[in-house]
Amino acid sequence: MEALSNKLFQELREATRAVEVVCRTVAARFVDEVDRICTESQRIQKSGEVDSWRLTLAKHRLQQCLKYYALGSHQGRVELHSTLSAIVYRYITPPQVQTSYQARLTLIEDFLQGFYVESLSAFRRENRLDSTYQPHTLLELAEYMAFTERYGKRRIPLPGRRSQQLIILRAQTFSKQQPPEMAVDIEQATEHGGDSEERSAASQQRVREEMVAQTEEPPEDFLRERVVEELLAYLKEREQEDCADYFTLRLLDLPAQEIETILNLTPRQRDYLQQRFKYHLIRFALSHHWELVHEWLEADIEHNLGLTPQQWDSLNKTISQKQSKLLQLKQTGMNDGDIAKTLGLTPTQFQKQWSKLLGQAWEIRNK
Amino acid sequence: MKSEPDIIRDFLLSLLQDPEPAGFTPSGNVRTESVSQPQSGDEPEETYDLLSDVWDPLDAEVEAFMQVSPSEQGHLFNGIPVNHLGDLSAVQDRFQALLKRRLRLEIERRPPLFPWEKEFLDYPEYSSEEVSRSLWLAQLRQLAIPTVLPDEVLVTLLERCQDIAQQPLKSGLKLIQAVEVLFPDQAQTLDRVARMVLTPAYRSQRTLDTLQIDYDQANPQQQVALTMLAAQEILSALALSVSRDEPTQEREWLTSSGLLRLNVAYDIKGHISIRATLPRAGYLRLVDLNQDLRAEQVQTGELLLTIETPQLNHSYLLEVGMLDHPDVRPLQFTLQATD
Repeated sequence: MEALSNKLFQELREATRAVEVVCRTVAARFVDEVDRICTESQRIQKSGEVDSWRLTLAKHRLQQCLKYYALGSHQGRVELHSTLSAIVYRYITPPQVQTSYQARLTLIEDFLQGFYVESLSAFRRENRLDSTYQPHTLLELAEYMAFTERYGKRRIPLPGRRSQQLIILRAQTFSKQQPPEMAVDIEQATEHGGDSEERSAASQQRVREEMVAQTEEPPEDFLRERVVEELLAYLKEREQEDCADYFTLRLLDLPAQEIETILNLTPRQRDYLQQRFKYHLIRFALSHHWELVHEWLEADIEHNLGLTPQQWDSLNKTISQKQSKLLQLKQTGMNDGDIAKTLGLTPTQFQKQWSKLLGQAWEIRNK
Repeated sequence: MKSEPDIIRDFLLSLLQDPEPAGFTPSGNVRTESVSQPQSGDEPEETYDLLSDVWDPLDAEVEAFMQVSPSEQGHLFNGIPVNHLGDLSAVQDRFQALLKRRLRLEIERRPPLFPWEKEFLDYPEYSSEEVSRSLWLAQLRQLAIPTVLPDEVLVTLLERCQDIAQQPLKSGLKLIQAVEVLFPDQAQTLDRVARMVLTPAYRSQRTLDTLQIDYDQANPQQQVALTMLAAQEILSALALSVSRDEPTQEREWLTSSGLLRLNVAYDIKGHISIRATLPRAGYLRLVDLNQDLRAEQVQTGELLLTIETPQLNHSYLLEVGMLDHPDVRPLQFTLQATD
């Protein structure tokens, strides 16, 4: 038997209680798939490291399969189903004008049932199995579940050098096939949206989603993403995980009600969480991470903190002499330590003064 | 002045809505600080241009490696266009992790069924005796008889039918021998019912369509009749026969792993070829006094055996077995070529 196949077979034998022939068959299927990728991939062929790629790709398959095997039939399917549901969640649009968590769940359920059928036939096709093949033992079930996860996450090329996960493309198609009266068109949404506030918000949400779906992913703004990541890290550091969750959901523009359901909060609790998040956001923007945030806002020190000449004058009038000096020194590019020394401030005092100054500028800018 | 919530909202919205908010275009040099770029120092655009001429199957695999340890990532991402990783941001990850936790609560309560499952199935870690026993039963659970026989009865019937299929017995006697172990000390009933079952009118289509009997509730005579009808079906399913007039015969048998297909063909040269498509790794074996032919397949696929010079009116034993159920008796057919 071929070395890689044999190695995988041995590992399956050691890690599972499956009978020999099943281990052998599963190992052979891993190797088949991996070999197909290696043969077809120009990049792998050119890399001159075909063997190393074969091993990496095969090991990945093995690990995934063993993960599902260890979870078992029940926990394994819970894992797979929740993983896939979370991926497609935003792309499955409920037919009701009002989006809701429950409505989405029902649709996701329908969608995934169809997706499992598709992945089963893909599994049979790619492994040249009979059209009646079905997993029979736990290892085969684990193999199918791991395959389904990989299949869903497969990246499919799109025009314009972009790519998308296969399951997301399917979810978008699925959403488009919802009954026509439910597929609110953009014009209608803007025309009749005013009837009730809720409906308007929901329609706009749909329109936005439509537009996002049409344009696919906008080009990434790296700095923006950096701010988001830093803020998330900042919140985590301060053990404000719930704030980070709230921020994440807000970033995805989910309606308040849906956020409440997902976070399992009452409207009042969510309100409180929002207050807490705001507090941390302001601290984040005005303290340690001011440079990043201000740079992103094009409001860094070189740009007079993003103020117009009039606003800049107004700031200079309202601040103390010491702050004014601080600002001047900052503009010369002097480092913080030296500025503090020059002004006779401790590092903490310096930081406090600077934050205060930024806060003042922030207020003026947003007038 | 804008209220505080407005500031926050604007901040959030601008973070959210505009990839490049008007008036807030970031200066060019910051682009190289991309956080989604695993290796610093490269210019993403250029790297991409060099490599993006054709879609590579490896690109489809990118997702798979997001969980790979960082030490391995360097090697893996080497050469993968950065843009493909663009939407795998911290927000996506966090959102998905958050939702997944939330969804688990619901899914735990109502786990999904897979396409081949009608109910929640238990998957044995290895082939247990139970599974082995039921390997061939799927076919028997759908026999054209007006009842559903309990699995134990089906197992016994299959065993008995395979035992007697090869024997040159009269039909009535075969039926009696097939079921007598289920009904000891009822020789008279067996004899009487066998006669009835063999009467062509007994199993008219109408009777079969309209009648449904609960086996456990049926009286002894009905039970004998039902098992004999089943035995008759099984015996006929296990008998394969080809002749010059009817040179091919197809047989399908549903196993717990999927469908098994057999095709027997008597060609002009006088050879008999037997093709089998198995739902999983298995073998095909043909035995008689003069020969023992065997074909085996580790993967699923077609198996082929050929009898070069078949003996006419001679009964061959044809076995089909599954490699991962070595303890299960293979399915045993009789094969005859007649003139």
